[in-house]
Amino acid sequence: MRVTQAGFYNQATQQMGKQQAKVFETQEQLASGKKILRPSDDPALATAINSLKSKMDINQRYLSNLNGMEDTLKMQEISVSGSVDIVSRIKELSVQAANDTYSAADRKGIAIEIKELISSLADLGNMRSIDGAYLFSGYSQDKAPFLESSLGVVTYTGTTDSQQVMFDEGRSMQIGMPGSDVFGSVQHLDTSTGATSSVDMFTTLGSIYQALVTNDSDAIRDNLDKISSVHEHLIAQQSNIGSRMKRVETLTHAIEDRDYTYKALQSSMEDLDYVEAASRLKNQSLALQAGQQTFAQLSGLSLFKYIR
Amino acid sequence: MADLLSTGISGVRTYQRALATVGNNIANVDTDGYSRQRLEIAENVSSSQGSLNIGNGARAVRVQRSYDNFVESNLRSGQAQLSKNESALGYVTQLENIVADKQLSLSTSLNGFFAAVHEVSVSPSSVAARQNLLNVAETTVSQFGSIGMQLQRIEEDSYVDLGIKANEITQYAQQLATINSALSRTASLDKQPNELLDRRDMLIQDMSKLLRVSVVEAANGVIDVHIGDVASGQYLVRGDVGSTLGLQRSINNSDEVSLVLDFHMNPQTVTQLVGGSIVGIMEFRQGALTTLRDELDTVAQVFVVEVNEVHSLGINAHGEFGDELFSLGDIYSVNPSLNNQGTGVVKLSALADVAIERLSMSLTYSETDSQWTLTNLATQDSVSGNAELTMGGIKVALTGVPVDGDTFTLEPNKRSIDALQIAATDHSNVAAGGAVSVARSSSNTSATNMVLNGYSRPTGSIGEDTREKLRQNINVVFSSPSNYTLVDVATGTDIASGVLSAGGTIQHNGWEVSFDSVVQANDTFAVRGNGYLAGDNRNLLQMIELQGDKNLFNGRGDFTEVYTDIIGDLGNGVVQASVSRDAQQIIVDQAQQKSDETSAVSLDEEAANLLRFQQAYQASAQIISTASKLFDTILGIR
Repeated sequence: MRVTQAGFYNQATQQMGKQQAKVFETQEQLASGKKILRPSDDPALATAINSLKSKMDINQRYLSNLNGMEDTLKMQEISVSGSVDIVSRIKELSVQAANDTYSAADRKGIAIEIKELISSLADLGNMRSIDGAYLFSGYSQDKAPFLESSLGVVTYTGTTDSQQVMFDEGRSMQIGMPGSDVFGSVQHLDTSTGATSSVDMFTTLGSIYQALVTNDSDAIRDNLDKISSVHEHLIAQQSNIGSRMKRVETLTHAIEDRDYTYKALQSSMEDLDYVEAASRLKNQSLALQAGQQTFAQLSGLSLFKYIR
Repeated sequence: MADLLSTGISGVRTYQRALATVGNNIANVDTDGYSRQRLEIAENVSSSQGSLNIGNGARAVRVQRSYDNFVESNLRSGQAQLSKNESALGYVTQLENIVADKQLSLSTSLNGFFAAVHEVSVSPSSVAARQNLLNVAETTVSQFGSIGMQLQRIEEDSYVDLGIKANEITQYAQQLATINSALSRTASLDKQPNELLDRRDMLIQDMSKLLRVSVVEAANGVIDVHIGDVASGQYLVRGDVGSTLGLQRSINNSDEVSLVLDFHMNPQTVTQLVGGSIVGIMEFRQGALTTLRDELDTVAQVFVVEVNEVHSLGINAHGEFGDELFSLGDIYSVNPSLNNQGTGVVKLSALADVAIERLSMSLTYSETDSQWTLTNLATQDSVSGNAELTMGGIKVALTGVPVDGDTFTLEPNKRSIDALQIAATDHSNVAAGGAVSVARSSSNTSATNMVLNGYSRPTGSIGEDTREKLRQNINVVFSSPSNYTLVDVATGTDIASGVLSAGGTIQHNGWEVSFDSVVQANDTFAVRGNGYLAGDNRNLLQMIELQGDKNLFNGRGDFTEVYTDIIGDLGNGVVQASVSRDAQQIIVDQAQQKSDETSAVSLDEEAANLLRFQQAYQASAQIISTASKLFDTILGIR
């Protein structure tokens, strides 16, 4: 084999170039902390990472949805527990007023308080969430669902729908509570006849108020059981909200767990093994150095040096 | 007669030339394309003296170029392949960088869009959330746009690159033609100046890196250069004529380019494209680049069409059905003829599941049958109708009052990914609500609820907007637990009747309902069309379903999966390109080594020759001195 100047220099520079490229790539890995820098480094792994990232994005979104649901449930809980207190007070006042020792004037006084309490209850029914949506109006979230006439009659104007929110792929949960369910129809068991019927909450409270105004003690007594039913109904709503909050909490934990799993998986797929990479860099720079040294030595060898 | 003096002089003269050749080799040790030269030395004819033949010294016959045609042609074809692989790899890597760029990731921006849809579904009555949805949609559109723009830039860069390279080839061809005419003055290759041959061979080699050529050499070194192999019959250089090589964009598809030989005189499309960086670039354009652009166009198209379809069946804040959320309006440029008399208006949209072709079309109105005709100008295929026409993946909707002979031309304009725009500009246009609600009558005997399973666009005649049918208020009245009648609420008339099987469904006007329990006779259920309900998020829940819908791309998977697929394909493409580049590099390295062994200068060898010829020169000079002494001896005889 004839070794020529051009051949020798070409080969030497090519070899060193290849070594340099390897060192550079390892250096790039170390600087970024990532195993793969572009899809072609490992197409299968790159696609796996991409789909994982997409899953993580979507998972994060489910977490935000659950947070939003929790906020809504908290507001519902505040409103309904307030209502329970109000109805307890109404019940207490009604029981007092049912007492025959009360005069018409006493009952009027109580009626005034009850009217205020009914208005407060309607206000609670018209409560809004953090972003301004009415909590209990079904789909008509932009309109106050409970309208109180000058005569104190409260009517429901929302829809009977309940909003669903998605918390996982293909799975959604009812989060909206239409006012017609919470502050509307109440199942009432008539103890004398044993029949169950449905009564309207504000109508019941309205008739108590009317009975007080008209000083009709029989009517007051007639409505006491119904008020108890209303009270029980609201407590049932409260525990309903509570159990849904519990469910949201459990789901949040489950989805957070999934997020941790994804993150761990992402790290194992993507992150560089620094120890391995550092020792690789050491090896590669050693090889490059050896190449450079031999080149320097060999290129110094020339017959011309010895011709004088 | 043998003459010692002239023998000595022949040696001195010969070795002087040999030393000059060595000197020239050393001087050209780093000259590109230089082939090592060697002086060929021969004995002079001897002279006979009686029975003896006495030699008459040496002479320089010629300066021989160390050159192996076979080795060089091997190196040329190897290099042609290598530069093809190299330029392909370079361009594919650019694509990879664009697609892998986190800032440009389409799956991230699509996820971002759906996240904003989620946000509105959680707080449907929040104007801020709706506005945010539009802002995010705008971002998504601009992400698509910036990828499209980068790909467009690569397309343009590669076109310019091809143009420069074609021009370089033309230059090389001209230079070779000039060399040919210089070479043609001499009849024999042996007599040709070596530097001219070196220059010729180097030009051929440079040319081969751009485009693989075949060379036919005549006895005097004049060459013909063919594109591809000799059989192509397409000459780049023929004698002292060099051809020009140019580029031409295809008339039907501006992305397609072809190489044209002899552009001005006798244009011929280059048929044999086997190697060289020009071929690498052309293959990249037709292969990886077009594939990627088509794939991304499909993603954009499916996204727009599917989101729009869901959106158009929802109810917006004006209490109307939603309009397009996105549009692909600029995929074609629509030009009305100057002679149009009517007020016809053309609106374009994309079809689902059909790839958008890039056709030149014309649209003409005829009053005799009051129909529009859409014609594919290339094939003359046509479709006619009066409201909506479809061809090549697009839907042409026609409104306004046309006059006989009114014509529009449709020319392909932008790719889907570039044409993607946001159509809804106001948050009140976001159609979040469902169009249909169902309820049971409070006076029903049973407590059974009617459940709305879903609804889709009602069927109708072509071009008809059937959506309002969904909002027809209908009562479902049961005369027995299974027999029902559908009653139009507005008119009180019976529309249809049927029998409900156990667990069965009722379908009408595009909606489908079922029952969660057994129905009693005289039970009535209401199907109602909705107006605007601020808290109704059902249409958004439908839209979110698109995100994970695996049937959108004919079973290829959902948006993320398809995009991931595209990244994977591109990654694999780069791996393949780089493997074939590396393999070819080894072949070329070996060929180069062979060529260097034959033709390159070794300084050690030259140093040895320098000593050798110097000694021979000195010895020859000694011969002259000896001859002179001998002569003196003769003269000294007294």
